[in-house]
Amino acid sequence: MLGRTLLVLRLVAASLRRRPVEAVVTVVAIAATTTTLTLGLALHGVTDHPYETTRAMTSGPDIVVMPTTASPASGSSGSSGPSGSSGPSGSSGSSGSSGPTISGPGTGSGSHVNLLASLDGLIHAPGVVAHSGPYPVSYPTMRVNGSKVLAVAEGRTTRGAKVDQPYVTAGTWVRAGGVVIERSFAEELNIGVGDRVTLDGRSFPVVGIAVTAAVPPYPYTVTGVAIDNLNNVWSQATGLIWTTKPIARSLATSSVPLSYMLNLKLANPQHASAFIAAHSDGNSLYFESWQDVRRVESQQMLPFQRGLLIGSALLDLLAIASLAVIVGGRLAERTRRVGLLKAVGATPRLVAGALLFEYLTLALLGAALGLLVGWLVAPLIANPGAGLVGSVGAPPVTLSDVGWIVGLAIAVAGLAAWIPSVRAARTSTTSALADSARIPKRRPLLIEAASHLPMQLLLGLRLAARRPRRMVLTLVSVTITMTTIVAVLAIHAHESQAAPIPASVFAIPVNPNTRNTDAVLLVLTVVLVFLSIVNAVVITWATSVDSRQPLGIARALGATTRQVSAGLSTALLIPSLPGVIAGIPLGLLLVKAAGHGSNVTVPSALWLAAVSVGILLAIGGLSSIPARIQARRSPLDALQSEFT
Amino acid sequence: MNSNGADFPLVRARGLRKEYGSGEGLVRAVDEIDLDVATGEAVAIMGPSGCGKSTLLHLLGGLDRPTAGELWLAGRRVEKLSERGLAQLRRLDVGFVFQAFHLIDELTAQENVELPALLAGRSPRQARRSARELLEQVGLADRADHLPSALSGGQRQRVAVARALANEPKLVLADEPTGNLDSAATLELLRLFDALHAAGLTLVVVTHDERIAATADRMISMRDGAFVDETRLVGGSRGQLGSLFGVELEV
Repeated sequence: MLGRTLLVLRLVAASLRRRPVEAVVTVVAIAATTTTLTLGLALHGVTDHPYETTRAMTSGPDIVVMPTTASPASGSSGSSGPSGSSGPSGSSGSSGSSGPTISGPGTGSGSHVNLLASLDGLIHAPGVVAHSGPYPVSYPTMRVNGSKVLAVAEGRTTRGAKVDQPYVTAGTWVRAGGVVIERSFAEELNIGVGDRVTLDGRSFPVVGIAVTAAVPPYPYTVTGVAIDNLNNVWSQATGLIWTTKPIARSLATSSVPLSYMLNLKLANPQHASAFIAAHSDGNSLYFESWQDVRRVESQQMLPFQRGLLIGSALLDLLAIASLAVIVGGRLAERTRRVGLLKAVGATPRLVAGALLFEYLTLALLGAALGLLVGWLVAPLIANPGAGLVGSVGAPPVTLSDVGWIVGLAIAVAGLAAWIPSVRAARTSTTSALADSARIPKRRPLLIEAASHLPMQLLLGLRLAARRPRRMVLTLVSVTITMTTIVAVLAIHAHESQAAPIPASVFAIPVNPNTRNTDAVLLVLTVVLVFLSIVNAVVITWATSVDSRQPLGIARALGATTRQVSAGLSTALLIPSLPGVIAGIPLGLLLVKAAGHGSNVTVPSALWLAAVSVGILLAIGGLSSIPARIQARRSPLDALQSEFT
Repeated sequence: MNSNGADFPLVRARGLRKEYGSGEGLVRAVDEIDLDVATGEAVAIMGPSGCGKSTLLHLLGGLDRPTAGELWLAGRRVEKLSERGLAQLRRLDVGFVFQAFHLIDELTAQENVELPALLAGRSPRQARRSARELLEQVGLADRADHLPSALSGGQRQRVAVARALANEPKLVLADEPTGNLDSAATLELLRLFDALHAAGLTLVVVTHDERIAATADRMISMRDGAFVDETRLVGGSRGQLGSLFGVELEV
């Protein structure tokens, strides 16, 4: 037993020593695949019902009620919101209009007594089982870190509330003299606990950061707020802060007076819409149901989630292509090696054991590397809506994720060892020793056509024709990469064509949603491009290994190293060219399918040409590395290695 | 030494050495060999397995580089050539015939024979015509469109010979060309070599079969990387092939 184990270890060590480059490429390919899987698993938690999680953790209200005294719809201010407002249209008021219609909250009609009386009536309405508030709300202008934004300051007690108790993610809850900032608002303005913010000229310390499910996060906490009715100045963005009631009251002004916010919990949350319909008086109260907030949240996260979904699907496809190439690429060589071991008396079990152990070593090494990279990259893209709890506090890569990834690595190792073992067991030892594992396909027309081409193209075309499935994988890989890059270019072209924000608008400095989506697209594109690079190298390597015999013969017959190397790169560029071309319309279709604007903006021809040429150059350049390594081997080595 | 003299041999090696490994593991596969092969001469190199005869052949054909020594082929210093120069040498000046044939599996006999001509930059039409003629010459015109897998061992080796001749090389190097062939196929191949030799082709054949060596003009024995014996065969055995194999031959 010990002797056999020692033999297996020696065989594995010898194999790794003999082909170190191939071992490294295998580890990199498996690492790339497991990185993709790590990201996919980490992102799954983010997109998996984050609003519901937040709502449960914060005792989220079923309905939020705010007095509205001068909505654009009611026309009391005599003005309407800015055209082209970027706010989501999902949260509806009692009138059923699209978008929250609070405008100049509390700016005129109705005394505090009347407002509170109307809210008090709702607290005792049938179906209401709990409530918090009404809390005083003011709308101060907040200045911090060089930004000027409109805040919704909600006055709270220092004790917790039964309904809508925001979940503190950093620092503490509201205490005298301090403010707590809603997390997406804080992240956007780069505010941390201990910083100071200025509210209408008064400075306050930030004592905490929290999330809530009561209202949508920044910038849509309350949209379309008129901050200066006289001069028709609007804010498209508002962020929520919590402070003490006295501070909230003190921040009210004559032009933007105090308002209130009431949180209601119903016996049956599903009856929220019916409750609103029954108690809406048309204009004086603005209702927002938990479903409205969820809709805004989901709309806000939609591009992000779509990006993730499509991106992970593309990554999975590329990863599968990588694995298919890596496993397939080693099969031919492995089959001959198994034949050799059988010839010297190794049993099928010993052969399978040696192969399995070798692959297991490489796969576990690759999996560990992939986990590490995935763990480092995941936090960059696993934070779509800072306003939601989502995976807050949970590590992006869990123990079960690790289990899945190691399981995949073991499965890959098993598959890679099992196939050549079975193949070799089925073929006679002499056949396994003498012949190529898979007789290449013969393509008479291509062979004939190639004879009319220069030597590099002749070799490239004939090499490509030998393994058509590998060429299909190349085509798929390049198409996916080009599709993604074109989609990103189209999205950016669309954004750069967007109408500028009017000067009269108190605008969002940067739309965090756009920035989040951009970050996701960037990371996905980088990962996709990296995986494509791995694929290009792996495919060239596999092609060069598989083509040792014909290339060795070509070298013996007088082909130069450069011709052989160029031929190998050409074999990869042949399927890459249609992939690059196909990627252009597919990228535009992807943008259209993802709903990123009904009119897809085609990136400039210059950009498309630059990207196309860049991809082809990158593939040519990268593939030349394994191609040169292979081509520089002595032709004798190539001819003799057929039998070793 | 003047390499351009009229009497300068096609192949000249002086102090040719090829070593593998280092220290105690140093193996001298070819040890200080001096060799001249005249144009049109047929030389057989004999010796047991591992004596270095194949290594010597690889050095002569520019498939490998010597560790030391000087080597001329058609007046050119081979060991000083760049990789590109060696490739050109293999392409135009040398034809190889291997024991394992080394035909490309997915190419037909004709396409295999065309390959060196295409590598040399000849037009596809020229390459095709030349390949047809060569296959006819080796008696395989009717097998031109067959894949190697559909040919017998002897036929495959004849295709390999045709391929070696594709660019009308100055020198044909054959490494155990009959090692994988039965007697009948061996005889057919020897007749072919004999005809090529008669037509003035320079041949260096590595073999451990004395019957094959007997067909050469000169027979060199090798042991442990060095030449140990050399026999000049007057007129070679041309016309005596049949008797060598115990077969009646029509010459």
